[in-house]
Amino acid sequence: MTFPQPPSQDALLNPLSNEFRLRTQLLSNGDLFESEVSAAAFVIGPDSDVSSIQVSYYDPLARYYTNDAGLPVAETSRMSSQIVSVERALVGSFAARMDTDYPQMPGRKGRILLSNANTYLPGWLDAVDGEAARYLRIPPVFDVIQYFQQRPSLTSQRADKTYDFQYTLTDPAGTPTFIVIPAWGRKSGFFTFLNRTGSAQDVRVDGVTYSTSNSPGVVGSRQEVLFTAAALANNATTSYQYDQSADGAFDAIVIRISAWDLNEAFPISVLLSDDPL
Amino acid sequence: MTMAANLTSAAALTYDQMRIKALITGSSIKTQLTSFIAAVNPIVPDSIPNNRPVGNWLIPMAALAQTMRGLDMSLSDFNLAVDYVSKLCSVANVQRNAGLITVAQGTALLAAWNTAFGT
Repeated sequence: MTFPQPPSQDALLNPLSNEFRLRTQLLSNGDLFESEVSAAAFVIGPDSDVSSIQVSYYDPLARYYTNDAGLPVAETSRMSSQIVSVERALVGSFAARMDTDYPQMPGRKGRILLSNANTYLPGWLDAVDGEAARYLRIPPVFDVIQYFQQRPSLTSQRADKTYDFQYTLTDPAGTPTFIVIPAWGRKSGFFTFLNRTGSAQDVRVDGVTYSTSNSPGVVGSRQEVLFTAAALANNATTSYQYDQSADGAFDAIVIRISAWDLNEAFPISVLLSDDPL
Repeated sequence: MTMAANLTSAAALTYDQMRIKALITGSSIKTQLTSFIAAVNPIVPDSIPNNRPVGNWLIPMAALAQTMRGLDMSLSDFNLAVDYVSKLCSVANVQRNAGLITVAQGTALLAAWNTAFGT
Protein backbone atom coordinates (compact mmCIF):
# COMPACT_ATOMS: atom_id res chain seq x y z
CA MET A 1 0.00 0.00 0.00
CA THR A 2 1.09 3.53 -0.69
CA PHE A 3 -1.68 5.34 -2.55
CA PRO A 4 -4.62 5.50 -2.17
CA GLN A 5 -3.93 5.53 1.57
CA PRO A 6 -6.42 4.25 4.19
CA PRO A 7 -8.63 7.03 5.61
CA SER A 8 -7.67 7.97 9.16
CA GLN A 9 -11.29 8.37 10.20
CA ASP A 10 -11.88 4.64 9.66
CA ALA A 11 -9.79 4.06 12.79
CA LEU A 12 -12.61 5.72 14.75
CA LEU A 13 -15.09 3.04 13.66
CA ASN A 14 -13.62 0.79 16.34
CA PRO A 15 -14.77 2.23 19.68
CA LEU A 16 -11.73 0.73 21.41
CA SER A 17 -9.29 2.34 19.01
CA ASN A 18 -7.19 5.24 20.21
CA GLU A 19 -4.84 5.44 17.28
CA PHE A 20 -4.39 5.52 13.53
CA ARG A 21 -1.33 3.69 12.30
CA LEU A 22 -0.08 4.40 8.80
CA ARG A 23 2.43 1.81 7.70
CA THR A 24 3.41 1.81 4.04
CA GLN A 25 6.32 1.57 1.65
CA LEU A 26 7.81 4.76 0.32
CA LEU A 27 7.70 5.02 -3.47
CA SER A 28 9.28 8.42 -3.90
CA ASN A 29 10.99 11.27 -2.08
CA GLY A 30 7.72 13.16 -2.15
CA ASP A 31 5.17 10.71 -0.75
CA LEU A 32 2.69 12.77 1.26
CA PHE A 33 -0.06 11.37 3.47
CA GLU A 34 -2.94 13.00 5.28
CA SER A 35 -5.19 12.64 8.30
CA GLU A 36 -8.65 14.10 8.72
CA VAL A 37 -8.75 13.50 12.49
CA SER A 38 -7.19 15.77 15.13
CA ALA A 39 -4.34 14.30 17.12
CA ALA A 40 -2.90 14.38 20.63
CA ALA A 41 0.43 12.83 19.68
CA PHE A 42 2.52 11.31 16.91
CA VAL A 43 5.26 8.72 17.28
CA ILE A 44 7.44 6.90 14.78
CA GLY A 45 6.17 3.34 14.44
CA PRO A 46 8.32 0.31 15.27
CA ASP A 47 8.70 -0.85 11.65
CA SER A 48 9.78 2.52 10.27
CA ASP A 49 12.94 2.95 8.24
CA VAL A 50 12.23 6.67 8.11
CA SER A 51 13.70 8.37 11.18
CA SER A 52 12.09 11.83 10.84
CA ILE A 53 8.55 12.68 9.76
CA GLN A 54 7.24 16.18 9.13
CA VAL A 55 3.80 16.87 10.61
CA SER A 56 2.04 19.93 9.17
CA TYR A 57 -1.26 21.03 10.69
CA TYR A 58 -3.79 23.83 11.02
CA ASP A 59 -2.45 26.24 13.62
CA PRO A 60 -4.54 29.31 14.54
CA LEU A 61 -1.51 30.73 16.39
CA ALA A 62 0.53 31.17 13.19
CA ARG A 63 -0.14 34.91 13.03
CA TYR A 64 2.91 37.00 12.03
CA TYR A 65 6.07 36.81 9.99
CA THR A 66 8.87 39.29 9.25
CA ASN A 67 8.90 40.89 5.81
CA ASP A 68 11.81 42.20 3.72
CA ALA A 69 11.82 45.44 5.69
CA GLY A 70 12.06 43.56 8.98
CA LEU A 71 8.51 44.48 9.94
CA PRO A 72 5.86 42.11 11.33
CA VAL A 73 3.16 41.25 8.81
CA ALA A 74 -0.05 39.32 9.43
CA GLU A 75 0.32 35.72 8.32
CA THR A 76 -2.65 33.95 6.78
CA SER A 77 -1.28 30.48 6.12
CA ARG A 78 -2.44 29.08 9.50
CA MET A 79 -0.01 26.24 9.02
CA SER A 80 2.73 25.03 11.34
CA SER A 81 5.11 22.15 10.81
CA GLN A 82 7.03 20.07 13.33
CA ILE A 83 9.24 17.01 13.16
CA VAL A 84 8.60 13.76 14.98
CA SER A 85 11.75 11.68 15.20
CA VAL A 86 13.05 8.46 16.68
CA GLU A 87 14.52 10.52 19.52
CA ARG A 88 11.35 12.40 20.37
CA ALA A 89 7.59 11.84 20.22
CA LEU A 90 5.42 14.78 19.22
CA VAL A 91 2.90 15.50 21.98
CA GLY A 92 0.39 18.35 22.01
CA SER A 93 -2.75 19.37 20.17
CA PHE A 94 -2.77 19.05 16.41
CA ALA A 95 -5.96 20.12 14.72
CA ALA A 96 -7.45 18.68 11.58
CA ARG A 97 -9.98 21.31 10.52
CA MET A 98 -12.28 19.69 7.99
CA ASP A 99 -14.75 22.50 8.59
CA THR A 100 -12.47 25.08 7.01
CA ASP A 101 -9.72 25.58 4.43
CA TYR A 102 -6.14 26.68 4.82
CA PRO A 103 -6.68 30.41 4.16
CA GLN A 104 -3.62 30.66 1.93
CA MET A 105 -4.94 27.83 -0.26
CA PRO A 106 -8.73 28.21 -0.60
CA GLY A 107 -10.44 24.94 -1.43
CA ARG A 108 -7.89 22.82 0.41
CA LYS A 109 -9.22 21.47 3.70
CA GLY A 110 -7.37 21.81 6.98
CA ARG A 111 -6.04 18.27 7.05
CA ILE A 112 -2.94 17.13 8.93
CA LEU A 113 -0.17 16.30 6.46
CA LEU A 114 2.52 13.68 7.05
CA SER A 115 5.67 13.38 4.97
CA ASN A 116 9.12 11.87 5.08
CA ALA A 117 11.60 14.46 6.38
CA ASN A 118 14.59 12.36 5.33
CA THR A 119 15.91 12.50 1.79
CA TYR A 120 15.12 9.45 -0.34
CA LEU A 121 16.41 8.69 -3.81
CA PRO A 122 14.73 5.53 -5.16
CA GLY A 123 16.92 5.46 -8.27
CA TRP A 124 20.29 5.88 -6.59
CA LEU A 125 23.20 4.68 -8.74
CA ASP A 126 26.75 3.82 -7.76
CA ALA A 127 29.23 6.56 -8.65
CA VAL A 128 31.51 4.21 -10.63
CA ASP A 129 29.41 1.29 -11.87
CA GLY A 130 26.33 3.40 -12.62
CA GLU A 131 23.52 1.84 -14.62
CA ALA A 132 25.66 -1.12 -15.69
CA ALA A 133 25.39 -2.71 -12.25
CA ARG A 134 22.49 -4.70 -10.79
CA TYR A 135 20.59 -3.05 -7.92
CA LEU A 136 18.58 -4.91 -5.29
CA ARG A 137 16.73 -2.23 -3.34
CA ILE A 138 15.04 -2.74 0.02
CA PRO A 139 11.97 -0.44 -0.11
CA PRO A 140 11.90 1.86 2.93
CA VAL A 141 8.94 1.62 5.30
CA PHE A 142 7.10 4.74 6.49
CA ASP A 143 5.46 3.91 9.82
CA VAL A 144 3.78 6.56 11.97
CA ILE A 145 1.22 6.24 14.75
CA GLN A 146 -1.26 9.03 15.44
CA TYR A 147 -2.93 8.99 18.88
CA PHE A 148 -6.35 10.61 19.25
CA GLN A 149 -6.11 11.05 23.02
CA GLN A 150 -3.31 11.78 25.46
CA ARG A 151 -1.43 8.78 26.81
CA PRO A 152 0.50 8.51 30.08
CA SER A 153 3.85 8.19 28.34
CA LEU A 154 5.04 7.99 24.77
CA THR A 155 8.37 7.13 23.22
CA SER A 156 9.30 6.77 19.59
CA GLN A 157 11.05 3.42 19.45
CA ARG A 158 12.04 1.66 16.26
CA ALA A 159 12.71 -2.05 16.23
CA ASP A 160 16.07 -3.33 15.09
CA LYS A 161 15.97 -4.36 11.43
CA THR A 162 17.43 -7.71 10.47
CA TYR A 163 17.95 -8.94 6.93
CA ASP A 164 18.92 -12.52 6.18
CA PHE A 165 19.76 -12.96 2.52
CA GLN A 166 20.36 -16.68 1.99
CA TYR A 167 20.25 -16.20 -1.76
CA THR A 168 21.38 -13.23 -3.79
CA LEU A 169 20.39 -12.43 -7.35
CA THR A 170 23.80 -11.72 -8.81
CA ASP A 171 24.23 -10.98 -12.46
CA PRO A 172 25.73 -13.83 -14.54
CA ALA A 173 26.77 -11.29 -17.17
CA GLY A 174 29.60 -10.26 -14.88
CA THR A 175 28.52 -6.91 -13.48
CA PRO A 176 28.63 -6.26 -9.72
CA THR A 177 25.50 -6.30 -7.56
CA PHE A 178 24.48 -3.64 -5.03
CA ILE A 179 22.08 -4.28 -2.15
CA VAL A 180 20.66 -0.92 -0.99
CA ILE A 181 19.39 -0.90 2.60
CA PRO A 182 17.68 2.14 4.19
CA ALA A 183 19.61 3.32 7.25
CA TRP A 184 18.30 6.76 8.27
CA GLY A 185 19.32 7.47 11.85
CA ARG A 186 20.70 4.00 12.54
CA LYS A 187 23.46 4.15 15.14
CA SER A 188 25.01 0.72 14.74
CA GLY A 189 25.02 -2.30 12.49
CA PHE A 190 26.50 -5.74 12.07
CA PHE A 191 27.17 -7.42 8.73
CA THR A 192 28.32 -11.00 8.12
CA PHE A 193 29.26 -12.58 4.81
CA LEU A 194 29.89 -16.25 4.00
CA ASN A 195 31.30 -17.20 0.62
CA ARG A 196 29.97 -20.54 -0.71
CA THR A 197 30.36 -19.71 -4.38
CA GLY A 198 33.38 -21.91 -5.06
CA SER A 199 35.66 -19.01 -5.95
CA ALA A 200 37.03 -15.85 -4.32
CA GLN A 201 34.65 -12.85 -4.25
CA ASP A 202 35.04 -9.16 -3.45
CA VAL A 203 32.78 -7.62 -0.83
CA ARG A 204 32.40 -3.94 0.01
CA VAL A 205 30.13 -1.93 2.33
CA ASP A 206 29.43 1.74 1.50
CA GLY A 207 27.57 4.52 3.26
CA VAL A 208 25.42 6.74 1.04
CA THR A 209 23.96 10.18 1.72
CA TYR A 210 21.27 10.94 -0.84
CA SER A 211 20.96 14.12 -2.84
CA THR A 212 17.83 15.26 -4.66
CA SER A 213 20.10 15.98 -7.61
CA ASN A 214 19.88 12.58 -9.30
CA SER A 215 23.47 12.34 -10.49
CA PRO A 216 26.04 9.80 -9.37
CA GLY A 217 29.38 11.12 -8.18
CA VAL A 218 30.44 14.33 -6.56
CA VAL A 219 27.58 16.45 -7.90
CA GLY A 220 24.93 14.18 -6.42
CA SER A 221 24.82 11.70 -3.60
CA ARG A 222 27.79 11.24 -1.29
CA GLN A 223 29.25 7.76 -1.15
CA GLU A 224 31.90 6.53 1.25
CA VAL A 225 33.59 3.13 1.46
CA LEU A 226 33.23 1.78 5.00
CA PHE A 227 34.54 -1.76 4.65
CA THR A 228 36.30 -3.88 2.04
CA ALA A 229 37.06 -7.58 1.92
CA ALA A 230 38.91 -8.20 -1.33
CA ALA A 231 39.07 -11.74 -2.70
CA LEU A 232 37.19 -13.40 0.11
CA ALA A 233 38.14 -17.06 -0.29
CA ASN A 234 35.66 -19.85 -0.89
CA ASN A 235 34.11 -21.07 2.39
CA ALA A 236 35.60 -18.09 4.23
CA THR A 237 33.54 -15.69 6.33
CA THR A 238 34.03 -12.06 7.24
CA SER A 239 32.12 -9.47 9.21
CA TYR A 240 31.87 -5.72 9.63
CA GLN A 241 30.63 -3.65 12.54
CA TYR A 242 29.10 -0.24 11.71
CA ASP A 243 29.42 2.51 14.31
CA GLN A 244 27.68 5.79 13.47
CA SER A 245 29.77 7.79 15.94
CA ALA A 246 32.96 6.74 14.16
CA ASP A 247 31.84 6.04 10.57
CA GLY A 248 29.30 8.83 10.09
CA ALA A 249 25.55 9.02 9.55
CA PHE A 250 24.09 7.81 6.25
CA ASP A 251 20.75 7.56 4.48
CA ALA A 252 21.51 4.07 3.18
CA ILE A 253 24.05 1.32 3.65
CA VAL A 254 25.01 -0.36 0.40
CA ILE A 255 26.61 -3.79 0.02
CA ARG A 256 28.60 -4.34 -3.16
CA ILE A 257 29.44 -7.89 -4.18
CA SER A 258 31.35 -8.98 -7.24
CA ALA A 259 29.69 -11.13 -9.86
CA TRP A 260 29.83 -14.88 -10.23
CA ASP A 261 28.45 -17.09 -12.92
CA LEU A 262 26.93 -19.93 -10.95
CA ASN A 263 24.05 -20.11 -8.56
CA GLU A 264 25.93 -20.99 -5.42
CA ALA A 265 24.96 -19.29 -2.20
CA PHE A 266 26.57 -16.27 -0.64
CA PRO A 267 24.62 -15.82 2.64
CA ILE A 268 24.56 -12.28 4.02
CA SER A 269 23.15 -11.25 7.41
CA VAL A 270 22.56 -7.64 8.40
CA LEU A 271 21.42 -6.10 11.67
CA LEU A 272 20.72 -2.35 11.94
CA SER A 273 19.91 -0.78 15.31
CA ASP A 274 19.05 2.59 16.88
CA ASP A 275 21.18 1.67 19.89
CA PRO A 276 24.80 2.85 19.83
CA LEU A 277 27.60 0.32 20.17
CA MET B 1 18.59 27.09 -18.45
CA THR B 2 17.31 23.55 -18.86
CA MET B 3 13.82 22.34 -19.68
CA ALA B 4 12.77 19.12 -17.97
CA ALA B 5 11.67 16.32 -20.26
CA ASN B 6 9.63 14.55 -17.61
CA LEU B 7 8.63 14.83 -13.97
CA THR B 8 11.53 12.69 -12.73
CA SER B 9 13.91 15.02 -14.49
CA ALA B 10 12.07 18.04 -13.07
CA ALA B 11 12.49 16.70 -9.54
CA ALA B 12 16.21 16.14 -10.09
CA LEU B 13 16.74 19.51 -11.80
CA THR B 14 14.86 21.60 -9.24
CA TYR B 15 17.89 22.52 -7.15
CA ASP B 16 20.05 23.55 -10.12
CA GLN B 17 17.28 25.55 -11.76
CA MET B 18 16.19 27.37 -8.61
CA ARG B 19 19.82 28.15 -7.82
CA ILE B 20 20.26 29.64 -11.28
CA LYS B 21 17.04 31.62 -10.88
CA ALA B 22 18.15 33.00 -7.54
CA LEU B 23 21.84 33.69 -8.23
CA ILE B 24 22.25 34.27 -11.96
CA THR B 25 18.99 35.63 -13.33
CA GLY B 26 18.28 37.46 -10.06
CA SER B 27 14.72 36.20 -9.88
CA SER B 28 12.91 36.15 -6.57
CA ILE B 29 12.27 32.57 -5.48
CA LYS B 30 9.31 33.89 -3.51
CA THR B 31 7.75 35.18 -6.75
CA GLN B 32 8.63 32.05 -8.72
CA LEU B 33 7.15 29.84 -6.03
CA THR B 34 3.95 31.88 -5.89
CA SER B 35 3.56 31.64 -9.68
CA PHE B 36 4.18 27.88 -9.59
CA ILE B 37 1.54 27.40 -6.88
CA ALA B 38 -1.01 29.42 -8.86
CA ALA B 39 -0.32 27.34 -11.97
CA VAL B 40 -0.44 23.94 -10.24
CA ASN B 41 -3.48 24.56 -8.02
CA PRO B 42 -6.18 24.16 -10.70
CA ILE B 43 -4.47 21.09 -12.18
CA VAL B 44 -4.94 18.97 -9.03
CA PRO B 45 -8.22 20.03 -7.37
CA ASP B 46 -8.69 18.95 -3.75
CA SER B 47 -12.10 17.40 -4.45
CA ILE B 48 -10.49 14.35 -6.11
CA PRO B 49 -8.76 12.20 -3.44
CA ASN B 50 -6.06 10.86 -5.77
CA ASN B 51 -4.94 14.43 -6.49
CA ARG B 52 -4.18 15.15 -2.85
CA PRO B 53 -0.73 13.52 -2.52
CA VAL B 54 0.31 16.05 -5.17
CA GLY B 55 -1.93 19.01 -4.34
CA ASN B 56 -1.34 18.86 -0.59
CA TRP B 57 2.27 19.94 -1.21
CA LEU B 58 0.87 23.32 -2.25
CA ILE B 59 -0.23 24.00 1.34
CA PRO B 60 3.21 24.07 3.04
CA MET B 61 4.57 25.58 -0.17
CA ALA B 62 2.08 28.46 0.05
CA ALA B 63 2.88 29.00 3.72
CA LEU B 64 6.57 29.19 2.85
CA ALA B 65 5.95 31.46 -0.16
CA GLN B 66 4.10 33.88 2.08
CA THR B 67 6.59 34.02 4.95
CA MET B 68 9.95 33.75 3.14
CA ARG B 69 11.82 36.91 2.30
CA GLY B 70 11.83 38.00 -1.31
CA LEU B 71 15.12 39.88 -1.37
CA ASP B 72 17.24 38.54 1.47
CA MET B 73 16.18 34.90 1.31
CA SER B 74 17.54 32.64 4.06
CA LEU B 75 19.36 29.47 3.13
CA SER B 76 16.91 27.36 5.12
CA ASP B 77 13.96 28.85 3.20
CA PHE B 78 15.73 28.21 -0.11
CA ASN B 79 16.33 24.60 0.88
CA LEU B 80 12.69 24.16 1.88
CA ALA B 81 11.51 25.68 -1.40
CA VAL B 82 13.69 23.28 -3.40
CA ASP B 83 12.59 20.38 -1.23
CA TYR B 84 8.85 21.05 -1.62
CA VAL B 85 8.97 21.59 -5.39
CA SER B 86 11.17 18.55 -5.96
CA LYS B 87 8.92 16.39 -3.78
CA LEU B 88 5.77 17.54 -5.57
CA CYS B 89 7.31 16.47 -8.88
CA SER B 90 8.45 13.11 -7.44
CA VAL B 91 5.07 12.13 -6.10
CA ALA B 92 3.29 13.44 -9.20
CA ASN B 93 5.43 11.08 -11.26
CA VAL B 94 4.45 8.14 -9.03
CA GLN B 95 0.76 9.06 -9.16
CA ARG B 96 0.80 9.42 -12.93
CA ASN B 97 2.63 6.12 -13.46
CA ALA B 98 0.06 4.40 -11.23
CA GLY B 99 -2.81 5.95 -13.17
CA LEU B 100 -4.00 7.84 -10.09
CA ILE B 101 -3.68 11.15 -11.89
CA THR B 102 -4.11 11.41 -15.63
CA VAL B 103 -1.39 11.71 -18.24
CA ALA B 104 -2.86 15.13 -19.10
CA GLN B 105 -2.46 16.24 -15.49
CA GLY B 106 1.15 15.02 -15.49
CA THR B 107 1.82 16.91 -18.72
CA ALA B 108 0.26 20.07 -17.30
CA LEU B 109 2.33 19.79 -14.11
CA LEU B 110 5.50 19.42 -16.17
CA ALA B 111 4.55 22.47 -18.21
CA ALA B 112 3.96 24.45 -15.01
CA TRP B 113 7.39 23.44 -13.71
CA ASN B 114 9.08 24.36 -16.99
CA THR B 115 7.35 27.73 -17.05
CA ALA B 116 8.35 28.56 -13.49
CA PHE B 117 11.83 27.03 -13.29
CA GLY B 118 12.88 25.57 -16.64
CA THR B 119 13.04 28.70 -18.71
